[in-house]
Amino acid sequence: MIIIMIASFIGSIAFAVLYRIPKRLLIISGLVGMLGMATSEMAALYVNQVTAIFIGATTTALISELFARWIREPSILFLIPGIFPLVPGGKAYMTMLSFLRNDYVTGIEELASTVFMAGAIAGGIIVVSSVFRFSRNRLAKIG
Amino acid sequence: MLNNEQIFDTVMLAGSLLLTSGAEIHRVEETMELMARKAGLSNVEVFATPTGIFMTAKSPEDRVYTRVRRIRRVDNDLSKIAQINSLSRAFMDGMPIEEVLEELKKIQATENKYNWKIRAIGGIGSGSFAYLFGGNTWEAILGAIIGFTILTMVDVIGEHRVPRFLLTMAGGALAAIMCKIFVLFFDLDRDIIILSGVMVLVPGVLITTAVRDVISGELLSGVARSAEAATIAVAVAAGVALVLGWGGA
Repeated sequence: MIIIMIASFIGSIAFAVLYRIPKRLLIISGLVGMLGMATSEMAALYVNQVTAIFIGATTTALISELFARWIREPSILFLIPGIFPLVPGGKAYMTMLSFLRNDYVTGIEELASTVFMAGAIAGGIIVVSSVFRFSRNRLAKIG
Repeated sequence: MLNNEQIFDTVMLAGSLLLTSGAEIHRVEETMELMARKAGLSNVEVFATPTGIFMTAKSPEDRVYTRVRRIRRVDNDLSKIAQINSLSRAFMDGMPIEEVLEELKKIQATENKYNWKIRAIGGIGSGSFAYLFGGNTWEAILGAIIGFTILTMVDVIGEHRVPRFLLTMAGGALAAIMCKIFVLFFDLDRDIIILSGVMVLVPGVLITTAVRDVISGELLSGVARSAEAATIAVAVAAGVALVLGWGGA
């Protein structure tokens, strides 16, 4: 667990550097990625994998929106590196490998779970960002 | 004071810089609209897609101007998004538009080539993903070497305007080739090494902005960006499969 947290922290920071996020924001990007991954791993103990990723993505998006409000920077600066640890790379790879071995049944199975996991990430971001957009529009009308 | 043409240039430059840096469509349109209004234009309409921006507005003298800007290359540089974001905020707070134009030109001129340090950090990052896939330290180190090599290759070949699909496929193939050589000498999990190596090819910016475009109602861009992300994922898989297919997977 500790190793996974450290690995996702370093991984998120590295991708933040690759996408040239300003240096002072790197630690935050790393934190967002780490907390999202940790939540997802914790949730995976109780619920199935897709739900766990959904919970992880929701956490990632929530934290990055909060940080974005707090230091007034676009939230995608934290969101993009933050979701990297959640990307179902392993499943996508197994899909490719199964098709390569002419094992179409397993391939389709893996493909379906890849698509659902990617959908869970999208769903998590959608829920949080929509709520924040909604509240911002409401506030803008009142203010 | 800038004339209407120059104001248009400034707003258009801000928008196209945002778009080429990988910003969401909503941000591009909103920033351009706000800047144009602040600069004294009325009836501002902006329509941005991942491949082009259309903008039309009425000047104080009641003349209607329209501009189209085609966007061909996108390089994900989030620092530029952050810079333009704070610049447009400063403009709203009363920064003169001449200064904004100067700053925008400076941002545009910024070279954003990867140097070896950034590549090394990217490599370390992709290596650390080996742990997430259940690997050990050796697999992480080899994954990091592969990640670093892919980034270097993408940068060197990318100079020559190679189509992104081919470039990504070559990246996947390179990862598989290197890994096949590594596992000849070390007794390690081939899949984990390849997986952590190709992490640097994952189109993270596209995935995220695609989702956010869909939320803000930019269905055209959302679908376009999702399709691009899916194409890149297929390219990576195709590259790896091309090599692994030899001699049985």
